Amino acid sequence: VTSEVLTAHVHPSSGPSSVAAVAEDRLRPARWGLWFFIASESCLFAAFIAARYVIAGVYRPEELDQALGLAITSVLLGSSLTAYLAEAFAKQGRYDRAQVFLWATVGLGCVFLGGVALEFHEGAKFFPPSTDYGTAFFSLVSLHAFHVLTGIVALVLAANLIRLGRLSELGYWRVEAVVKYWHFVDLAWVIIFPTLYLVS
Amino acid sequence: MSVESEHAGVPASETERRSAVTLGLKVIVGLAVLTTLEFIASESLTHATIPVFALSVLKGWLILDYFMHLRAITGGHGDRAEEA
Repeated sequence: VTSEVLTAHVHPSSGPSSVAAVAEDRLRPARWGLWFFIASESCLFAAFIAARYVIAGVYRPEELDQALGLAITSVLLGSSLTAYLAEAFAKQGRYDRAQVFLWATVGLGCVFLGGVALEFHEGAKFFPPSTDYGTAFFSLVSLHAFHVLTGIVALVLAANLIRLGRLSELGYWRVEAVVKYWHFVDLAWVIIFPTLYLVS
Repeated sequence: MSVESEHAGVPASETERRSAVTLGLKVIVGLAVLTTLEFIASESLTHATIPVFALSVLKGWLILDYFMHLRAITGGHGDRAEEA
């Protein structure tokens, strides 16, 4: 949505506030759509989390590397801060800074996936997917890792749009949407972490 | 955050920017503290499920309210940077 298009829909004497109001109106359905999408994804995660308790109860193998789990949780929480800062700077029109924080988020997301790969390598030895806990662990973490991967792709696309200068002055919505999705991925892990690593 | 700075590309004030950064830092510190408490609770309590999940819900609320601006969708005060 460009400022020219928006300006055409408001009175000629209207100031920036009117343009902003029209922009806000146009973004509202998009925001609602994103929240509905997040709600539907939450149901998917809820089903997988419930399945963990149905299949394996609150059992937790002794060999599970809780320290690694805590480390990757810290990385993902850290990535939420960089994503938040990317959004904050994009909203203020500071796309150069926003780009830096988007790339930092991508980097932390990759570190998280590396940690998950390490956890999978260890987990396959002690609680393979054929076991009850292994089924819950591998399916839930894989589902989440796939979301992290798609989030990374979306973050890269947003950062690339900024690099190419293809974001209009209202293009922060694209950054906002991607960042909101990333926070959702983080939120899902906030529940998955205790479900798999802490409950026993 | 003012409407003008948010939507019309007018650069925000330095104060506003600092507020956003400060808020982000406060939330991340809160998340770190709650995660540590979760871990300690799971190690020290015999029946840790409920306390651990209570702490998880708190963490989730922090992310939803401060990072995802949940209240903005219902017309509430979604951007909390000014409160920092």
